[in-house]
Amino acid sequence: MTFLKALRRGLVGIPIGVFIAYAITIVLSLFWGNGWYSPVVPALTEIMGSQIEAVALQFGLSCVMGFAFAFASCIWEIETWSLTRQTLCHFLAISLGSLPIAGVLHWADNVPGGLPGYFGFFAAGYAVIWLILTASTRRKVREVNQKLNEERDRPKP
Amino acid sequence: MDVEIRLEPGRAAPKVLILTGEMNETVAELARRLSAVESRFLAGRRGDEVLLLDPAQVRRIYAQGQQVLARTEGETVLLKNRLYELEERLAGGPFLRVSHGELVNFDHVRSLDLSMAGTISLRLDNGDAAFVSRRNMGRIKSYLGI
Repeated sequence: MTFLKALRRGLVGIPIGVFIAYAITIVLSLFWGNGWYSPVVPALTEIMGSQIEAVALQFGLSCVMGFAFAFASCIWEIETWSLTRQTLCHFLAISLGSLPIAGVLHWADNVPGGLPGYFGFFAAGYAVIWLILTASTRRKVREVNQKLNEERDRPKP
Repeated sequence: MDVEIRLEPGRAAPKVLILTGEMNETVAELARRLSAVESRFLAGRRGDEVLLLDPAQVRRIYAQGQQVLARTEGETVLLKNRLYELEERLAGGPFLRVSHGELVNFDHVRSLDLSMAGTISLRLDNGDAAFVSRRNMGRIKSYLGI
């Protein structure tokens, strides 16, 4: 996996990010729109002052999110990196990608501890992923070693 | 059938020429067998010396820059083929791809090890170690019948 390939994947992620954001607005409008399509949540329109500014911001942030997530997915494919390094770098890439968005959209307002608390919660999620992947890899290594020992101990014909 | 061996100092690889008046089953079988001998061994080079390596003696085959190298018990031999060509040729045997740039002969693997940071490595009976990528663990398990 080269940096150029990761960059290309990040660019492919931009329309996917916009598509997902658009799909979310459709679903939200279907359930809570009272028959109307609402391109942004009213709170964002309030923050930005007008609906078109809110839509423009949402579009820009969807691009950033799409790029960040697609670009960061390449980290799991760098096979020479250890699991710890992959998990840490993915966490940092996603955090840095979503930090400005979380700040602008006040995602952390209702989270205890504010923005640091929000990312602490995020970090805890990554720690769980790391623990699960490490345990799974350890089990696979143990199984392979067990089989190799059995093969070695088996009398040769 | 007459058999003649002609020595040609400086020739890189042996060449077999069959002289025949007509193509028949015997000649076809002879050609098939000679081709099989060539494909069983891996052609390599150590310095100025040209070698035919028995794959059973090879511990691992790996890419280093533009070169593909094979490790036997204690020697390193430069191979002429590309890694993917060797993977295809050795498919179905004990050679498995363990990472992007390395094939390992599992008849010579002693054990696998997982580091604290989460890197998998394997140890071979000649003392060599190789890095294993997590995505290849499934292939290794399936080869071992797990």
